[in-house]
Amino acid sequence: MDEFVIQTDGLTKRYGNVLAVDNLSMEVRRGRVYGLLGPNGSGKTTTMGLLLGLLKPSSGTFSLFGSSDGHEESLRRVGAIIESPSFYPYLSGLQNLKYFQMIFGGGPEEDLESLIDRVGLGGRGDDRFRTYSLGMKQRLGIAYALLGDPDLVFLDEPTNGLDPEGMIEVRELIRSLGDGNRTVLLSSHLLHEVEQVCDSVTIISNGKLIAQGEVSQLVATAGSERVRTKTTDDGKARQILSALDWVEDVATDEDSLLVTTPIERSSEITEALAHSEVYVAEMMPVRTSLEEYFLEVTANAEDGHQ
Amino acid sequence: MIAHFLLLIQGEWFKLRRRWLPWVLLAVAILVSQTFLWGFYVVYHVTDGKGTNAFIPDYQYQGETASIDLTCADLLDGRIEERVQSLSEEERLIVKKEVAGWSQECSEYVSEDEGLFLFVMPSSILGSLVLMFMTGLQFLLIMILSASMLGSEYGWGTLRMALSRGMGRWQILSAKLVLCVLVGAGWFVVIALVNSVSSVIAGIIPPDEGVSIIVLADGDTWRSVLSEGAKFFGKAVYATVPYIALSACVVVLTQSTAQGISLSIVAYIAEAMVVPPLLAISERLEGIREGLLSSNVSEWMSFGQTEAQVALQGAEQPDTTQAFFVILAYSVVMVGVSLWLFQRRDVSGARGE
Repeated sequence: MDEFVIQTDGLTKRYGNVLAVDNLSMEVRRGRVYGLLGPNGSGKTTTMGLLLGLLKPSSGTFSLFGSSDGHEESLRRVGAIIESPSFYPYLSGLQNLKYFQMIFGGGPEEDLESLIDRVGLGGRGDDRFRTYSLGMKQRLGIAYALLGDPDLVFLDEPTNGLDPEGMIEVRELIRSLGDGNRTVLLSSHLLHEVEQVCDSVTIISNGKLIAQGEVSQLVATAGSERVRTKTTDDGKARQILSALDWVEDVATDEDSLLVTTPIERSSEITEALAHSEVYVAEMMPVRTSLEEYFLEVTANAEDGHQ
Repeated sequence: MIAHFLLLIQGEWFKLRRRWLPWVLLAVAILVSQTFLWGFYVVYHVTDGKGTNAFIPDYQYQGETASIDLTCADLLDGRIEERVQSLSEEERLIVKKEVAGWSQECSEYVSEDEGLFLFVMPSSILGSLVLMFMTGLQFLLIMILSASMLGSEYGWGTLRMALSRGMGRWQILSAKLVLCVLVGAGWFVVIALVNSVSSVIAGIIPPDEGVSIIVLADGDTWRSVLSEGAKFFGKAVYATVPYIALSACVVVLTQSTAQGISLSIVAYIAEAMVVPPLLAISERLEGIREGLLSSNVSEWMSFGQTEAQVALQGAEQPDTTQAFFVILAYSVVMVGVSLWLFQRRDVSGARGE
């Protein structure tokens, strides 16, 4: 069984003078939900287009399921929806899926109906695609991507146009897709969503890879650890904590103090304050979010680019 | 691989038959075909069985040693040379000059039998279809269908849906081209069937002696006409291939239905109607004319000039074998270019056409 379902080596796509993807080398392991992050225009969709054979690389190579030859064969194990879902407007949702099922080699119609139900389109499958709302189109796109039970699923901004309830449903669906041997490559600019759904991420900016790894590890390496605390006397507490040499910084944030220090020293904070008869009312660790990490690394990359 | 290709064709048909366009184009084709058929029916009856003749009065020439009578039929059937044999060299030149003056009017000549062929079975089964091919309408309709079948995919952005699942670029394009040829053939069959029904109706109202005699034509006549019809059918299907390939080529190049249709039609009209008169300016350019697709399709479909017209207008028509190979060459080149471009180019999202 292949360990990596996607491998790229120096993948580059150039449009005239614009480098959309610049020497990208990334690896995606089997059986994970993998996030592809980057600011608008960073090359996420272009990267997906290259991997799906829709765009021709200017240079570099890539392989799907360990095979760079016979790319069409590999693509038959892939389900994908990139950018906005595009279907035949005069066909119903069910007919659209039926057409694709037919050319992918056929299958029972019940599969299509269960797919339609699974993505929450039950009851609207017989309506023409042109009458669908953006959210419904997105759902049909996900159904299409899952058609034929593919081993690798590409989802490009799958929650675009969905209402909050729909976003939660799709998030749970994506999470469940990554169970077992199936791999999901999710591109999204909703970092909170990615953090909740993905095991690993690749961050690209200006077509270049700037970070890659497990979400938890990336976040752990980023920024300083902080502790948010509320006390019986915030002014005095600030003076006391600022004098401690293992506290890097103490800042006032709304009605609480934000103490920059390793989280494991929380008990020492309470001890130091209690010594001076200042008592802790609330205390909680503040971890760096993926969003903060993302903003930090993309800003650094942007500075480097300029 | 063949099974996969057949699945793609089946899929294309699944989509196409649910669109309005092929049915609208078929309706236009039937309408035009029926206009020809019933138009000739009306004219035939109005002219009291004389057809739509632009009859030229018989031309009589009284020579020193002989006198001859000539008609349009002599001119169109290439009998002029034979008929003037009895005249002297000088008299022959005079007669030929006179006859040359009729060529335009004679080209509109339709004999009494020809007047019937469009609405009386068995010749009517394909009669109006022949006229549609002569006017080029059938080629225009099939080019519109071909351009739309491919161009819409670019417009809706649906092409990448199939390509991203490894369906294969050349397979997808080839399936569309093959289906387009099959649909064109299907149109011919439907038009022929509608013609048959119309002919029966034309034979019934009002009862016409001349009509019923031909409807009840003997088996040999039917066999002969149907055999010619089958030959025509095969030739017609073959002749549509380069035009389907032409519009596919333009669509792959422009990635647009509108541009695909308009540029294909412009190319067709330019090649068939504008270029030949320009080439006629110089004798040196006559060779180029023989290589034009329209001239060869004309010859292939036997719409070429009669020997008399050739003699009078000086234009040498390509022969049928040459026509076959020229059509094949155009088809292969244009399909090849389409596939090559389609294979190489990026496929982007919906273009919103």
